[in-house]
Amino acid sequence: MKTVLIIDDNPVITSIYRGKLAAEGLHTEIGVNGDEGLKMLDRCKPDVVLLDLMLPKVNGMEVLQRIRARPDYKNLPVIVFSNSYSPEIMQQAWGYGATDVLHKSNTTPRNVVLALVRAIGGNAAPAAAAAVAPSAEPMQAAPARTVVDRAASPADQIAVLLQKFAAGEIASGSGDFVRLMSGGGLGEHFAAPMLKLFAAIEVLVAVADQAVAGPARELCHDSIRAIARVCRQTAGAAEGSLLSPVAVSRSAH
Amino acid sequence: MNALSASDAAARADLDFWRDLSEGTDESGRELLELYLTDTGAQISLMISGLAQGRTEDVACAAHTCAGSSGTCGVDGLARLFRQIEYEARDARHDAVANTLPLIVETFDGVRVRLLKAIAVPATEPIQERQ
Repeated sequence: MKTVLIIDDNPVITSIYRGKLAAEGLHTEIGVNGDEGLKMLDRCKPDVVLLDLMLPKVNGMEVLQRIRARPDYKNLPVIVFSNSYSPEIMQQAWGYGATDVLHKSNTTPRNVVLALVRAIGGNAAPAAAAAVAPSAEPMQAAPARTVVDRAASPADQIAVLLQKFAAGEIASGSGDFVRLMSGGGLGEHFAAPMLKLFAAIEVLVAVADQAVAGPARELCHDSIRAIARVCRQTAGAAEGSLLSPVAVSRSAH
Repeated sequence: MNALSASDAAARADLDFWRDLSEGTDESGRELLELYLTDTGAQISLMISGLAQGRTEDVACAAHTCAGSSGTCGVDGLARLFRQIEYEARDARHDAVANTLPLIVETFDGVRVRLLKAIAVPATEPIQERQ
């Protein structure tokens, strides 16, 4: 039986995923802080790690670094599963060698399970696979963090991404966001401020929603549309030198 | 700003949802809901004591935890409030935290009542099946 090591101090999250993963035929071990997680790594020899970033004792980013520093764990799939809204932190996780980066608030439990199953080879996922696509190759059907068509042109990918962001269907710290903004050929000088801007807009929309401020919400969406135009122009101008899907997801590592 | 209504804060208040989330039985769904309510209540208590002691980093930490579990459990309205107070606490905006925390307490109380009511054992169910 494949083993998933969950390193997370939130009992609600670990309880949910223990049940979900058991239903997929996977064994789960839990580390409730970074220090314990590192010790359990050697003890249970997991096939994949689901790693929170904000952890007591040793934080998740350091756990990730320590895992990658060990030759025997160089290829161990580590899926960062965080509630962080800082684009820099999400980028840092890619940089330190995360296999995937998922955001707690905009990734469904089913998609987290799919990402874990995919990371360990997709052999033990009848329930999750069937839920997505009852075809012969279910695991290719629904990548957890991909919400845009990577075969589309970069400009179109960004346009779709921004539409989904405006509709509240994707968060600024999600995998696609970081991939397209950081590796999408927009340039570092452009990408970093854009990621910050989107995170700020997210807060503004949340506050506007709370305050039932229709005009403020409209203003936020107008801002997103304006940014979308700039992105389209920038990406369009740079087209040809932009991302190939595989190269981009690897370029951050 | 007013507290969210319980129905706005927790759109999914039925036992089916919690059972599916727990991948088990009605009982495991109830246990998960109780765990969510207990843990979130405890984290809110930490936020209250953190605010009283001027330790906004403690507030931020507890809010971060609650935002994650509330979002995962579909209590999206509360998750947004927790995220908001997390930002306020990280910026050490004590007054903003002091304004938002009562909203969270009020909203959470409403959510708790709504969720517990929604998953209550039906009165017609035989006693032995409840045990």
